[in-house]
Amino acid sequence: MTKPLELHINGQTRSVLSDPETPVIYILRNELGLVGTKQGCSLGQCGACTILVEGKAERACTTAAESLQGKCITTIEGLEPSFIKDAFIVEQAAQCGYCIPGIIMTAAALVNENPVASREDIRAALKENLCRCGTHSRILKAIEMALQTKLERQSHA
Amino acid sequence: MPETLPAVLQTFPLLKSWLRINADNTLSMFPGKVELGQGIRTALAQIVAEELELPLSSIRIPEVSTEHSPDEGYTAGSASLEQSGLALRLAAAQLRESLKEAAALRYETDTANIQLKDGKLWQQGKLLGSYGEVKDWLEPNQTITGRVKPKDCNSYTLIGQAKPRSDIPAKVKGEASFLHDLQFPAMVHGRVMRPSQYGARLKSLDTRELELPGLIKLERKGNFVGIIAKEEFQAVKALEKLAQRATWETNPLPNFTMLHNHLQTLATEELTVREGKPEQHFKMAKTRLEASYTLPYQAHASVAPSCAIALLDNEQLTVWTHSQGIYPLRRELAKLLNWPEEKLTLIHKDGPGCYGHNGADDVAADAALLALTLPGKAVRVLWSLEQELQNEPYTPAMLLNLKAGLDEGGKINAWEFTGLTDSHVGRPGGQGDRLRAGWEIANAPYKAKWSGPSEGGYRNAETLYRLGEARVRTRFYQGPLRVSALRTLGAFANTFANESFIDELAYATQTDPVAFRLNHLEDERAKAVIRLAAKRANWQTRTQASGKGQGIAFARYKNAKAYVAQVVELSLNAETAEISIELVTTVCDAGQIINPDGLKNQLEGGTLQGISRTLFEEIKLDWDGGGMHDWDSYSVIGFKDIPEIETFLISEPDSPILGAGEASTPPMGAAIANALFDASGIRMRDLPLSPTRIRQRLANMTDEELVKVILS
Repeated sequence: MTKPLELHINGQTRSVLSDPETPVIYILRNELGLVGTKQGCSLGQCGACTILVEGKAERACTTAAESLQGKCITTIEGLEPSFIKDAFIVEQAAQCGYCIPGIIMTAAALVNENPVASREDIRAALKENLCRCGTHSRILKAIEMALQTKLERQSHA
Repeated sequence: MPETLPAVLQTFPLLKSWLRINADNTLSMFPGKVELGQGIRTALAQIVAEELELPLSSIRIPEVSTEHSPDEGYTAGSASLEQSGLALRLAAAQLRESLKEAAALRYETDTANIQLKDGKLWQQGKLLGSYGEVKDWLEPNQTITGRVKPKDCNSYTLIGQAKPRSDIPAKVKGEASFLHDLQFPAMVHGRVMRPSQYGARLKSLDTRELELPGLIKLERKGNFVGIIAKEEFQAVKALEKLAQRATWETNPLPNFTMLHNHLQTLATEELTVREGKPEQHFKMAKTRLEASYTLPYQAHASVAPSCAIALLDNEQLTVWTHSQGIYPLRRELAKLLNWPEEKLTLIHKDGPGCYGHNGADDVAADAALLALTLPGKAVRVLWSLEQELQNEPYTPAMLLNLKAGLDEGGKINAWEFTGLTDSHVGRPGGQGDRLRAGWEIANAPYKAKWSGPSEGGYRNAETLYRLGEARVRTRFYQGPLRVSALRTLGAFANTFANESFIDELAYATQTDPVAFRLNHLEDERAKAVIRLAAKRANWQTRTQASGKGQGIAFARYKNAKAYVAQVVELSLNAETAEISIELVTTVCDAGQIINPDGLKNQLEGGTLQGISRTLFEEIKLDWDGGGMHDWDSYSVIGFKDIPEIETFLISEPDSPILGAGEASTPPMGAAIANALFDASGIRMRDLPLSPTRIRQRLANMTDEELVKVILS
């Protein structure tokens, strides 16, 4: 059943032995210790496990590990530079904090794709990320702050 | 200064139970209240650091555990700062004076000559030593007397400051902050089989010739069935295969489209909250109004399912849990497992927000049961989302009947409130039967039954308004679904009813809703939050329905905690009947504020949960228990629904702390319904205010009512 898989995660090549059907979340968390990818609904509905695959936001709970071979995977631990995370800390945009890494990964994909995203664009990007504590308005502000930081850095570059 | 020592200090009087100075000049504090995402760790650290003249960074807070933490019961009811905060404040004040006394004795001087600053002791400018160096001068077993006066609020340097929460950076960076993230050497993965129809019971399970790769154990005790597998995905697959071999006996449920009719047929016990005799006053009234309001069953619906890890090692069973109350859970587990309490250690780790009694306690029992079958291995059990949504105890459906009389001057002269609710407390405190696995082992489902006036089903059934002659009663039924505590307990539905009805009375007397409230209040702090909310929200007196509207509501949580007034501004889409909330203005008086940013974060969260419960949330089950499976079955607020939120705090540094963790949820229901009425002329009395319900209400409106309605 198991076979060797090679995954490119956070800039490193990681070899694991796994059932190829295994959703990649189990490999990230249990084999590689990357627990920043949070376990939520396991149905692809809540966004807590969002990772980047080739820069696009994907759900780790419903993506088979085998399908990711040869692709660049980024988890919250490997997300650089840290200006989105910093913005969440400055805005104190967390209550329980469980949904936050997945939301940051969704935001990271948005910031790359659309550096001038409006509040409506942010809402649309997060339409499948759940937060149950009601931290949404701080999260929106934090992502706006991150977009602003990125624009400022680009204009200084 | 408290007149009597807080109860928890009477039970745990030793200073070292609460505070310990470490050799490295840090200070460890041991609250019994746990972090639920409400920022309690940081707020409590501010209180202790303030009293002890320590930098906030010197405070260490080990995990709350039955090994070293005082038993402070549950972390619930907006009580943590009032209870744990007061206990730690008294403990810290005493430690401060003890340090001074010990130094004065050693240096043969008066305590007045000893100063504390930044974790060091000074005698008129001369350094005597750091706390870590002098800690051994203290009487090690001193008890907290409560007689040392805490610092005067005018000299505060930390309390009242917006300090960033100490736990947020690690959570944002994705570190192993949560119970779900804990890993142990050779940890194995458990799953428990539960029906996919609500309340069904296991009839048969055929395990013959069943091959489950990676399976280590299959445990069956009565109707409790769990498995342990080597790897997590193997456990998931094994459970899927096992479930195909099970047959279930369904448990017929009432028709949920007529739920409140059914609930009214059930036997009840009655609690009189206020014993007035308004009958004569109703007769004398110039105008009489009656209305009924309802709340459906609603779920905690945590963002992630519950999880626990248990390890049996050397006859000691350790359970890592995100329960709200490790001690009550330990007592319940000991009974369920028939296991001595002293050989049972519970350790709290942060979990996904729970907002009350969800599946956290149950899954701890699941993990403990499985761990007992496999000594030496840490067994991690995680529920599925479907298991969480079906097995967690809900907040009960409620029906609130209100009746009022108005005199010639437009003042309320008679009032009757009759509430109908199930129990709100099904927490541990039984014989092991309060845990899901306990029912399954005994094949006897436990249903909470109203246990008496200490329960919160009538919370905020009373109001602060002058209501003339009033009778307030709550009746308790025992319903078809498992119920327990959800944030605010009865206060959300009771306040929805009271504050909607106040608005209806204001309309009946053609009085502005803000003025009508002020006319019926004497409490100046209540009036102050309402006035400020109206001012900040740019309150406009009602004219006529235009599709956009404003609504106000007010409540003092439990009539004893924080005061909150909220103004909602919304629009109603005339084609889709969808409500779009545009702005919520919240004003809160929480007495002495420890961390204003932490308080605002809690109030904002409570506001958005209030919106979610008002517009979206409803448990809908089919007659056979089907229907609750995932986030498509249970709708909650999303990013598209988020309004602008403005939150203002009234600071009262001289006042006691007033618990505020739940205070902004109760008024939201009525503030929205009142704004909807203002916008559209449609008075909605049944939650949630979905487009379907709004259209149903329109269909049932009288011609007289319809004249005022703008929806086509």
